[in-house]
Amino acid sequence: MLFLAPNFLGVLAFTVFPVLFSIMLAFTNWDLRLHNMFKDEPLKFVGLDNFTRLFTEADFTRYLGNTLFMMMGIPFSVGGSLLAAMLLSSDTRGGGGRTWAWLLASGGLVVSVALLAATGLATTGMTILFVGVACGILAMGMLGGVTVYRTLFYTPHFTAGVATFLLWKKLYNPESGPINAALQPVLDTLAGFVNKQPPTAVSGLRWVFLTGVAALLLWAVSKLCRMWNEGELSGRAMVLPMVLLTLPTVVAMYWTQTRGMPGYVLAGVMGSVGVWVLLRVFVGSRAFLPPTGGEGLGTGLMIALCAMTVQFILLGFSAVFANLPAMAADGLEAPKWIASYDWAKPSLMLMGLWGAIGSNNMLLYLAALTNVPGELYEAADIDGARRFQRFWHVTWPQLAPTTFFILVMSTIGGLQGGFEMAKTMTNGGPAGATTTLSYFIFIEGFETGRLSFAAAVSWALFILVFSITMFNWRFGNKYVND
Amino acid sequence: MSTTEPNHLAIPTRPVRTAKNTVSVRRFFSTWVLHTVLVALSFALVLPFVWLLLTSVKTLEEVGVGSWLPGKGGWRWDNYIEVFRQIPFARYYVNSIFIACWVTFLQVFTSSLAAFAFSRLDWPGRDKVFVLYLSTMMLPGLVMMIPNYQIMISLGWVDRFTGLIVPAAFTAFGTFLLRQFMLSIPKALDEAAEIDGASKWRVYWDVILPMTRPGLITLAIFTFMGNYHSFFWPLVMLKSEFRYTLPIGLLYFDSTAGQETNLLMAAVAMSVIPMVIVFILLQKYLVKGIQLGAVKG
Amino acid sequence: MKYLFTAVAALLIFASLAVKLSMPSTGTAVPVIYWVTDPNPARIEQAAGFSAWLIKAGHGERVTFTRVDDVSRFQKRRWSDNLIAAMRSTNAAGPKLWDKNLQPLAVKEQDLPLTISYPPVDLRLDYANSANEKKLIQGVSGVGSEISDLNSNTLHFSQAVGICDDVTQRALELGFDPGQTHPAIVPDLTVNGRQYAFPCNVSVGLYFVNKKTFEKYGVEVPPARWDTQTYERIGKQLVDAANPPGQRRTVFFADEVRSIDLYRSLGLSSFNETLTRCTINDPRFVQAIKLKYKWMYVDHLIPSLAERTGFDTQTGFGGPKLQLFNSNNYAMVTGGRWLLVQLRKFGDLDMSISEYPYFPGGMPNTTFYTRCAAVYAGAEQRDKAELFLAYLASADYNNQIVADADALPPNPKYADSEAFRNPPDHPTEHGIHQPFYEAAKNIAIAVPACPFVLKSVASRHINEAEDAFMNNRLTAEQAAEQAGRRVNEEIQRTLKEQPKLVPDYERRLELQKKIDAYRLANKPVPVEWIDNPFHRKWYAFNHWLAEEGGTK
Repeated sequence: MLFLAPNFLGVLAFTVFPVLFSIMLAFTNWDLRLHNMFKDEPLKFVGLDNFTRLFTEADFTRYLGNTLFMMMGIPFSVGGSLLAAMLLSSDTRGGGGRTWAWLLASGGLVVSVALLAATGLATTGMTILFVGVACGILAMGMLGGVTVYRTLFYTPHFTAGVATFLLWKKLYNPESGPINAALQPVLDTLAGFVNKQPPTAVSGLRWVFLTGVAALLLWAVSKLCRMWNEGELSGRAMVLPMVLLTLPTVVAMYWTQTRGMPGYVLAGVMGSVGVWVLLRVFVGSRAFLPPTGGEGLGTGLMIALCAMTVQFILLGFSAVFANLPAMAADGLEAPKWIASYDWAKPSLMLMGLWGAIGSNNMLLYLAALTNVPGELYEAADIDGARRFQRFWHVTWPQLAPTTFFILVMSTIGGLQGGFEMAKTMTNGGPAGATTTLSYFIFIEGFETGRLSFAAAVSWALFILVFSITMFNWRFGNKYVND
Repeated sequence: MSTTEPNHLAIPTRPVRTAKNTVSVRRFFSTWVLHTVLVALSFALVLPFVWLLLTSVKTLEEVGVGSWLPGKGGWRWDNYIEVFRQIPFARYYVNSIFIACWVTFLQVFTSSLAAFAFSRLDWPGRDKVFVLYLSTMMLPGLVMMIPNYQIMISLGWVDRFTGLIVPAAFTAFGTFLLRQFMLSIPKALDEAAEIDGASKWRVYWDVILPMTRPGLITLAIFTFMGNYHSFFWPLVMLKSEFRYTLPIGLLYFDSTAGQETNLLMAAVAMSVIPMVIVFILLQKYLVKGIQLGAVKG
Repeated sequence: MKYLFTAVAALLIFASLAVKLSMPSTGTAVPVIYWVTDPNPARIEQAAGFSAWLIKAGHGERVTFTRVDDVSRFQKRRWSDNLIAAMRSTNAAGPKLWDKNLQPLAVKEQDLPLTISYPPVDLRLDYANSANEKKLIQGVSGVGSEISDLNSNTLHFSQAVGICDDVTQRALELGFDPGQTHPAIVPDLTVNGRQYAFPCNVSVGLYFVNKKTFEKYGVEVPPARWDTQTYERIGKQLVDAANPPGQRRTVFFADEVRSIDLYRSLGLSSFNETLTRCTINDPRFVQAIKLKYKWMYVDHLIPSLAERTGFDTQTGFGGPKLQLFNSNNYAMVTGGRWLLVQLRKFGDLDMSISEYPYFPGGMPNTTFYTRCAAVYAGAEQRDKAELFLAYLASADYNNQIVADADALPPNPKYADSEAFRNPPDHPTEHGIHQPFYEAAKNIAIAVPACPFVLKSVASRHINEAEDAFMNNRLTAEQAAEQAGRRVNEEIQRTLKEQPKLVPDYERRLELQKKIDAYRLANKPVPVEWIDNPFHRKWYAFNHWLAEEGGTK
């Protein structure tokens, strides 16, 4: 018991006590404008008033939607850190072609530094600079091996916090930020090029991408169905991947309807997929009654998630090409990033992704990867074609506990996240696009003074986080021990 | 540990090619691919930092103009000296490192004790208390701000380092992380020690702690970085200028009298140094024989 | 492992001792008060000026020394450099107690007895505490700093929370009552006739015009006062001349146009005359934001929301827009006189000043802002802190503001001077200071403070709706409806939560009915019925007010 005492007392005093205090508050009318040391209003018990307000007003649901939208970045950042960890787990100093790499790195570095010193102010300075940076990285990598890369990958974390937000705010500045400064000339050239082409030729390209979407959908569905037929996937475990797979099409249909694009094409795609699914399911060899349990859900989810992502990207391209001639007519403008309603959330997600690749998650994965018994790998030859299988059958299952831990923490972090970004970068705008629940809590508590309502929002959030975590816990345990 | 049964690992192995030339050519290319990817990724991740460094040697007039490189104003290395002239940067430095070190030490120590209790000792209600611990992480910190502040006032810890160190030193996160590490250590080890007559304390010090070293290092890195960056709590707690930590002190350059972005970036660049040192020193221990336990509810 | 932990612990304890010993000592000769403000070099000068002013204005403590021992004991007290400098500069007549490096000097027997006065309080700057939530948390917990800089929004909130000291009485005694500042800004400083703050500076937004940009593209320089049609005509000429077709636009007429100035010129305020209802759901609001939309997305006179920056002191001033102004990308920028602090760094720009445009037949107007200082209600040194507010009304302080171009001096009489109009050090600026003074006197209007909804909340709802319209999320009519509905809901919620406010609310409703009836009958309305500073101006503009004494 003595072991627990120091930490427990600390947690009790600085966390549990305030927690209990705040749950009490959620049922009162505590308002800074009424109750503080300079006012003598009595505190009133108001029952569930604060909670009913949550569901009678649009704010809560809207900001919850924002929060969930921003959480869509989590799988990507977890995937990114896994990729980074895998790249960094082997020693990079060995291997063939070292001499050449040395020559390239040192040569490039010397030449670019020399040129930079000589023509520092010329317009090509930036190109030389970038070459120099890249060669410098390579040279350091050759010299210090994987340690250097680890440190470089972890760079975003060193500058984390307010410094990063200020930095990105400046990077994203639509007028003077370096991102748009780099993007604008490219867009100008592109606009000039597009303006010279007949508009139908450009917008016609969208059909290529739409076909890609349809093909991908068919491939993924048939893959899932085959797994189902072969008993690798239970019927219940098929629901979620299927929903995810069709999500892009549904979104696109909704989107095209609101923007007046030919939605019937997508409707056609949907219809054919539906027929396809029905055929596969009913003509398939297995009995229709699905077995219980969620076996194979992990695999199915992976396939569905990957396919969904690619579908979204293809759809994005098709939309871009459809509108390109119209947009290019008056010169293409770089996105306004955090200043525009449509780009604000993706901007923040991109920033989160950048910060998350080399984050703490990467360290956890690194640790877990070294823990994978070497003999499991020795069986497999280093073979380009077999790499994916090696990952799929050896690495991924071994990483499951870590992935699970990271997902739990990311969910908690994601649902509570977005506060500092919203406060330092966007003030929750434009038009509330980046107001997450935590920023909403901040506004209600510290800008309006209604601390009791802020507490109620927090507790609603708590219930959400708690149930998701518990779901994760059960499902995760099952999957981890699968 | 997760139970991946060996017979599931039906990895088809191709016959290894014997021709030495082919192998070395293939290795040559795989090294190149690896290096290219590594350099490209590092490049993307480091680029904003490069921009930061370049901005830190510009004149204020050139900040935010098209080119990344300093222009006519030349490379202003004395921006770095200017930072020290305008604010007591060294004092903030010492404060930040001092606080982060204390928090890290206390956090690692108390968390390891608590994690030991949660993973190694049997006592009634253990799992319930653990769920309680976990759930404290799920409530947004903002609502606890004012009650916590009241506690600080009644303890007289406002505008004192104690008020920054002590509340940050006890968290459920550290306990959770270390518990997962400790769960993966085989029970047989401490049982053997106990049969030899070792007390619980001896088991903790001599068996469990050495085995958990990677976990302790991980937690130390996380805590140090997190605390070194922490902004909101120090912002509310500190009043005297000579007690400011770096993130608070740097606000000086982001002022209404015009943002001195170049100086701000110089200060940020300098504030990064201790973290890089801590990271480089600790990261090699991190990956030696680390074991993250299976998560069992 | 055990030894490692013990070693680290020992090391840390040792470090703690070292850190503790290296801390500057906190003992002081006189009580310290903190001024929470922004980290602006000018504040250091102002704080130093306060110490000297205290002695000059007779607020210093007098002490007479008869023994050499007393003098050296006095010198050994922990004086801050600021206070020593203040004593040196003001007790110039007698023998110096400190040399010019602020080191103590020995005093000879024959100089005694010696009387000097010293500042009773040591004012220190505190710039890291200026975050709003920090002031709030510290304030409600009883440990706030003595003096805080607040803006119109935060003052409204702080007053509602009750952490601002009521200085009405002391203001009259010490001479920083509302009569000492611009009449139009008084609604920001007072609530129900009680005064809670005094301005550090006041500011009105106008357009700075870069004449070179207009010359470059052969377009006439804008007049000082113009309606929206003239604005649009000149603006279109400029952007058409400056931006080649088919390419990205790089030159804009102005950095921004604010809808509030547009709809106010039509006679619409966000609240009604008695501040009981939000009136933003009105065709005039729709007309204003539609025009803004047109200028932004059809005529490209102004860049889209990307560069919209608030006038809140919290968001930081200047930024890239001034560089773009200097490089002829923005022909005009909005801002108060304080922009000159930054613009002077660009060298001698050839500038003129234009007001914000108004709808034809409407009322030219601009918004009056202030950064004001309030005293914390829980502070022990309240009476000393109130002296600082008196300093803000003094000649010493105001003349410094005039010289620094840090917006307008709080006391208008110091702006009515040659040093203000034609600063000798800045010959190119002649003619661009006076318009700010004139605007503050004639067309500036403070933001209305409804007692039933916080200013920040109201403006958040209105801005959010406008943002949603500008981003094509809502139609202009929907935006107006949403903003009006949400602010009025907030009013009703506040009344429900704070029943004490209901009697005042009902009194105001009655008054509103009377005003409406008078207006319908075209009868002149007594000015004291009207609480909304905008409507006072609007009624006067339209000659709807009853004459003094009620003759009409």
